[in-house]
Amino acid sequence: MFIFKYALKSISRSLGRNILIGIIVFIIATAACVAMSIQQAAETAAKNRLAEMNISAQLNIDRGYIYTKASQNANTTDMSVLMPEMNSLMKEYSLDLDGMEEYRDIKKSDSDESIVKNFYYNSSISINGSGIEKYDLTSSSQETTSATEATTTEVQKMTDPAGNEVETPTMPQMEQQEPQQMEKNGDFTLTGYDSYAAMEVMADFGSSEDDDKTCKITQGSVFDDNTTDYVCLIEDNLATFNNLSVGDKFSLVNPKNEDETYEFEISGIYKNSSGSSADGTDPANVIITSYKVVKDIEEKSETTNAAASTSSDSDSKTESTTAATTAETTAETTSASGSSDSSSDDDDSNALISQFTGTFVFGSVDDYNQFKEAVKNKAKESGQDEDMYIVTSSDVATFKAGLKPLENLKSFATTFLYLTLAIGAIVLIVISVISIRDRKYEIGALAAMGLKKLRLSMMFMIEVLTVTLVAILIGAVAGSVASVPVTSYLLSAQVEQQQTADSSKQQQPGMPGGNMERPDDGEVDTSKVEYVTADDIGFSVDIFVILKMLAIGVVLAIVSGFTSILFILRYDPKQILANRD
Amino acid sequence: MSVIELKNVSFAYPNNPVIKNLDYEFEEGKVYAITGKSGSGKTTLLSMLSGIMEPTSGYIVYNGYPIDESDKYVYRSRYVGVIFQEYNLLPKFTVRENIQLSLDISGRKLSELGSFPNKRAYIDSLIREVGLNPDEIGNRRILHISGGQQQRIAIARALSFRPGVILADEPTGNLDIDTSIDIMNVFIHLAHELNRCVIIVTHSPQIAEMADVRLDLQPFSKYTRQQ
Repeated sequence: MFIFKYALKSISRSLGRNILIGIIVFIIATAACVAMSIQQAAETAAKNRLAEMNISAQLNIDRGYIYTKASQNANTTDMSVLMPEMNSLMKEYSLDLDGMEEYRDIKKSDSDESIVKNFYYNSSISINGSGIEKYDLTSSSQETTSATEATTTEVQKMTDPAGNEVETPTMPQMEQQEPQQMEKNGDFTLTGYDSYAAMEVMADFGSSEDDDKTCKITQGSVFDDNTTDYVCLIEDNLATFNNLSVGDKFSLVNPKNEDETYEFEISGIYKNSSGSSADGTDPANVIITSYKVVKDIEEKSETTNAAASTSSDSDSKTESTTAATTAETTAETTSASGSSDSSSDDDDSNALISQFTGTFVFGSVDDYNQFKEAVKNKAKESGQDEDMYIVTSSDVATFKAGLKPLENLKSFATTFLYLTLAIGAIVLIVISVISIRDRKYEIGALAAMGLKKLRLSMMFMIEVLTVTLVAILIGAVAGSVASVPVTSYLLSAQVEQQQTADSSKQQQPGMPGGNMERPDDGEVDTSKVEYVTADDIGFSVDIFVILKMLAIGVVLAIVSGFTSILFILRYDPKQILANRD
Repeated sequence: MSVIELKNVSFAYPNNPVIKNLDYEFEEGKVYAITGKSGSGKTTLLSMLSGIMEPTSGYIVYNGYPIDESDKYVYRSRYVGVIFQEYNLLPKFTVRENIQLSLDISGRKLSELGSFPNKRAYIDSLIREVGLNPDEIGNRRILHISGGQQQRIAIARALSFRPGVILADEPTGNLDIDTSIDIMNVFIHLAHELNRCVIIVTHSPQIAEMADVRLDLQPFSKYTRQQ
């Protein structure tokens, strides 16, 4: 087609003008490519991170809901009246293993597949030792008062935000659960996991080669998942403190009944690198065994103490009043993420009571969101308030927090992209108009020779498109080369800025929020957030960016080309030729 | 034989009538020179004959068909070759490219134009027809050839698709007298040897004298024919 041939010839015969257009398009293309590669990087980084992560989440009772319901039931806001009512409601609605397994089995809306990829759980008992002393290098009195402190802290938390102990606690801060709290009347926490996988997910266990794991087996081995043998893992500091090693035995004792002992053999020793556990207990004092062992202890303890209670009912009643009251108060303010598996109605019993915690694992954020919705629907179907249970995941919240600098950069890049394209389009239109005016005579001559305006327009459009697309391609190459260092530099600056903001928050623990943020998906410890860095992004220009660039090029060419066409259509060849200067 | 006819043609610019009720028949094999004072409507008449402008009343017939009923672009690109005073060649293209562009626009096939092995041979024959050497000038850009050469190339371009009528507006206006006479001889050759109808607009009495028919256009379309 001769139009195409002459268009290309025309480009080569007007190099100066076309190089100028090319340079402008090249600059636009380079800037746009950098901006789009930042956008692409943000999306890719998010996808990659999401693909790598399994989201673990907890299903908890919404304390705000419990407070509201208790207030309605008791018709008062007096906390001293409300607390028993709230405790009663918490007990009523807390989910045990069976309850949580119902949620585990919720199917996806579009298939028979379960939303929950995995479900893990553990059960914990607070217990004393015999022949083993708790690891405590700071204070010896802390544990003995912990139960009272837990209750006091709870009350303060509920009253402080309003500045009034009784009237109006700030509910948003109560919506999400604190990590599991349990009756802390023992020196140790004996935690039984349903499997090693549960330990990996819930306690961040890994092999000694895994540098990023919090807990690593350093000696011995982990017991079988379903073992009923009284074997355990103890923490390295605890082992050293008590001069214990793999194969040694020690006993654990019911704090309320010293005759009730359980002998354990150490199958392995693990190292916990975290500073402290979520409930303030020194992590060295956590002894790990199988779930079945904890349940076995709980059953034996119930049987033992039921018998003891029956035999010395009247004698023990007076003596146990104070301790039982403390235990009851503490137990009743436990986390809703777990509940006692014990169905004992006898709160005065000296039996050991375990605390149940379940963790749901999802394969994707979509599944996680679907589960949140399903939880609400299930509550509604069973005639309960849809807000009674809430699903939280620090994984999602931490993940989102880690993307914050990149998201900020993406937002900046998007604005920059639009601005570049707008300015670029205006400049190209202006150049097109000037160019067409310069070529008016050529247009007149061609039209006078009988070249139809449609073909004339096509010729100009081909010229503009060719120059634009070539410049876009060169700009895309330059942009992709420049995008990595530019993105790295900008992202580093963003991360630095974010870290400065985080550290300034951490240095002001008294300020609202402190180092803990509470977005919708759960609590974020900013010290644990891993920000996306330039190393995570890598080379971020792919075929989609190139295609987008080409699309932008075509749009820019069409915009400027159509401006030319408008002028061409307006021109009358006779006038052009008659007015030729 | 009549090739192109004016049928009661009038043309007026706003508040300025130029041509009024003009009738005339132009025949093939003749060179017509249209003369007249400025404002008499010479160039306007030529523009109407080329289909660039339309009469305000009356009509023009080409080979029996009114041109206002045909596609003006097709008419211009296939049936009338127009040579402008300023030649209107594309300065950045070469001589051959200018001629070929006109040929391509017309859509004429090489087989319709004679026995030539390729377009280049045909274009070179056109350059020779207007008295130039294609080997010397063919690849030169229009910017780099003289005014007389440009005018000859403009004629070659107008001839490229073998039109029945050649219209030339002041074809010798910018040339010296010797070159002007050479150009006129080219037109006479086209009319007499190739049986074309050549219509030129000129101010020059000397050039007009060389034409077969001289039409002296007066204001409001009174013309005298001198043969």
